Amino acid sequence: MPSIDTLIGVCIGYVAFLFAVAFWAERRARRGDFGWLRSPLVYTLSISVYCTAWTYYGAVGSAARDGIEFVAIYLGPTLVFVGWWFVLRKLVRIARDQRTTSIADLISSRYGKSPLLGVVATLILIVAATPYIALQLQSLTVSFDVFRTDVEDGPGTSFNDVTALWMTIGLAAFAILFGTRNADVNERHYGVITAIAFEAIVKLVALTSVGLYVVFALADGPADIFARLPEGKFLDPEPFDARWATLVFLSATAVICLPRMFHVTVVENVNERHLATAGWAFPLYIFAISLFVLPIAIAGQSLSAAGDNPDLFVLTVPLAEGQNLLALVAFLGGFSAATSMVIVTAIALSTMVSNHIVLPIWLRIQGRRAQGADVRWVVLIARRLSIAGGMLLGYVYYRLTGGTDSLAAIGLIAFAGAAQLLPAIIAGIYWQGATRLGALVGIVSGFALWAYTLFLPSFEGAFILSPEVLANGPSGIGWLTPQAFFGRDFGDPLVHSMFWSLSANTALLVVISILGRPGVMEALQARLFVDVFSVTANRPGLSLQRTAKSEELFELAQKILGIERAGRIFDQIARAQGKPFGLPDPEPNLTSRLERELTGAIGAASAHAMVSQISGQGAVSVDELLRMADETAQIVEYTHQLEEKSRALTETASQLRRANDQLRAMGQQKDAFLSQVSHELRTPMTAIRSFADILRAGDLPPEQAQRFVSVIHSESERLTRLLDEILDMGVLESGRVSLHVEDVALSDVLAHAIAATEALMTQSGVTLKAPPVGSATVRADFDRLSQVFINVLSNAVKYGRGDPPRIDIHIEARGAWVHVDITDNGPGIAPRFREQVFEKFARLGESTLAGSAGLGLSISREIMRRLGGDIVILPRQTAQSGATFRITLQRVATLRAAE
Amino acid sequence: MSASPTERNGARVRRRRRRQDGAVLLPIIGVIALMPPVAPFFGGDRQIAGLPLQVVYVFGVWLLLILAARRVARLLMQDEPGRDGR
Repeated sequence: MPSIDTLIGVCIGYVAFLFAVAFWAERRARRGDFGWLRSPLVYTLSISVYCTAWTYYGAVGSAARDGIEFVAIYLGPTLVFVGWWFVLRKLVRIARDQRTTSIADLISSRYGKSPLLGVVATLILIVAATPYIALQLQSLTVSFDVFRTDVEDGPGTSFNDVTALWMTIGLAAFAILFGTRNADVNERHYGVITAIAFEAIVKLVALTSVGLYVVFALADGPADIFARLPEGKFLDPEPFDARWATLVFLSATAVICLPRMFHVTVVENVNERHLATAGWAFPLYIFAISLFVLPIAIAGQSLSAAGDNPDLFVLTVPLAEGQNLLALVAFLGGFSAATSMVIVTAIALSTMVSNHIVLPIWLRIQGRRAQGADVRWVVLIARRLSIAGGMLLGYVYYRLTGGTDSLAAIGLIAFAGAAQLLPAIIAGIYWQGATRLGALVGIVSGFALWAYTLFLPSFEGAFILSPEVLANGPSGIGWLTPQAFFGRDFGDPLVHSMFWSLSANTALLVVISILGRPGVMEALQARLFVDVFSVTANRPGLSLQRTAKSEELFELAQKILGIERAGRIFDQIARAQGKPFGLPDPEPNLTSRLERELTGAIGAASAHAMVSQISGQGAVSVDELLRMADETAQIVEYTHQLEEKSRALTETASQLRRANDQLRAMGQQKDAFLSQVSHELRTPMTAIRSFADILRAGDLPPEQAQRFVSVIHSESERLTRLLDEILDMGVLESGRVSLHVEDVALSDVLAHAIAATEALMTQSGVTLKAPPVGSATVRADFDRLSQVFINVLSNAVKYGRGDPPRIDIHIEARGAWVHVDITDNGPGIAPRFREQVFEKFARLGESTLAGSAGLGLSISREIMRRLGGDIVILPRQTAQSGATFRITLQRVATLRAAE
Repeated sequence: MSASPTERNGARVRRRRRRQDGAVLLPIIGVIALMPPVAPFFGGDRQIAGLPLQVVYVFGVWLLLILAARRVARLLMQDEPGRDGR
């Protein structure tokens, strides 16, 4: 076992290292070289100040007594952080807009910058936190005690007292040194936060090391450790009861309401985005911390050498196994858990005490004379003294109570006390109707009930409430028995106390708020808090109409912020007003902006009081303010509507643009088509006209005249055909044509088409090779399909021109389709023209086509597509074959392949 | 034709709303899973793979919540402009 001297040496070394870390971080931040000092990781680790010595030692003790119940203390924070988008994000945003310095400041600021509420909240938190600090000191001395088995004297001896005293002094020194460098709390404490983050790692590593040792060295894996669970011991078969629900709720409120939690989560937050990381990373951290709690508890119970205090199993299990180094690491873990909690709590409490108690008193004493003194020193000295005072209070509490048996009980009592602030906070940020009086009465009554039903009974008759009162109620009034109102104790004092105190708290808050009427400042702040995402504190117009001489305001700012910062802020405002030099013009905005800046240093209530001393209370009435607020709401609403409208307009505009593009494209197509049509019509017309001219001149031999007349006739026939085709195309394209689709025998259609082109073929000497067509039936319009075949066949006759000319028809059934391939042995069609021939009036090279293909093929394609089939040109198959047109049709019945 | 800027904007707004709804829903799901009357179904002395069922259940739900929160946070941060410092 390590000697007590080694232990003290390690502790001193560790604390020295902590000072070094904090000092280094502070220096780095001062140089402006933040780097990972402002990273989400450090932020998340600093939040782990939630895990105190109570967690570290007490969770194992709780697990050994009540099984899985200890997890409830972590599930509450998990739920709050997993839902960070909901509450924490809003708190952080409000705290930034309002320069909030503490939880008491938040409440005081929301309810009209009420000094009284600030005082009440501060006192409640001091009462709740003092036993908690005592608890940390106790856990430190008790853990020291474990290493002192050889010394005669027991716990609670002078050695322990001395240890505790030195701890108190050391921690106070750290908190003062790194926690009160600036009067402005909103200037981050990088030194403290970095040191806390470092301590978080120590805690996690220490507890996990002990856990890993227990699970994998002492036992044979997780299943083995749970197999050692003593029969019927501590795993309650029904753990998920009212107490469980209360604990989850309580821990969820604690993570918001405890001064240290609010400080690290909200006040020290540098970037809202860090919440997104902490939202899952902090739950992961506490998940890892609690993973090994049950195994350690089980191991402690199965080892007789581990002693009978389950709160110390983390230390006694490694010691019982002779693992001295591990025990030392575990001790350091507990040490860091206790120190980080005490430091942050002391800083948070000292901020509240200086801003809400000391400063208002000082202001009252000084009166107008306060204008002369430097407030910064008052604030800093008050803060330093209150750190020392808070620590001393914790130490005195520890000495007086002499340490309670169960660590967890004190922790829960503190949680329940701080939870009395929750209704006022939640109502404050979500309900504009909550008033100062409602919040005040709610908090005070909830706190009184908490003290009566939980806090005072925890002394077991030694303090204020006598044992008789605890047993039978005050003066024997049975239904007022502290832990069983109306004779019902709900099976658990904590559940009982939480139920009555929070019910009364919330009910009074709501009822009194509804009956009451808020003051000007309250109405203004309510609006700024509840609508923090839509209304910013800098909005012009939405302020008390207070003005003061710029000189006087500057003098005030100088005293609280220092000459340098005050100068910078006033310069900024003057620039914004368009004044290149000198002090800014006295405007209501200047007053409210300055007040907000001062709030960051001395809290909302004091800042408001000091500014109002100069500017007066302002001439605005509640109604006027509400009207302004409504106006802003209307403006917001109107802007929103405008945005919606402009979005809709953009949408319509882009639709119109698209329609316009389409129309233009169609117009161009029409133009092209028209010019092609006129061109096509012109050629025969020219011929007709010139021959007609010649004929009109007369003097022609009859046979020549006869020839000219037949040319005119054939050209006019060509014209008619062209016009027919154009009409046909128009009808097809506009979709006005009704196709008469039915089951058609393919052989019939082909026979009809071949018969129609037979004369043409014979005339050109074309050999047709058509296979016998089977009984294929297709879905088609008979007339239209034969039109397509005729068109393709006559094209093949016209442009095939092989030697000797030949046309092959080939039919193939493939799945649900029938392919009819019509091949000539002409020159074929070049690949680049394969799509072009289907366009209207396509003209291919003279070598392939004589003149224009006209509209035949485009009509054919249009028909085929309307019939659900298609017509394409296949690539050349052999050197002999010319163009192959493939007509694809939907098949109805099976086709006997005709090879 | 590809989606117009307005359409893409509309889709983004819808997506962001959906993600925000998810962020609000997550703690509610957690409360339902970890509180009576749902949680007691997993009480009792039953075991799973040598571990008590209640322990496996509570830690399992916990871990799932953490993973879901991580996913939601990533998605939310994709369409949230950064707000730095005061």
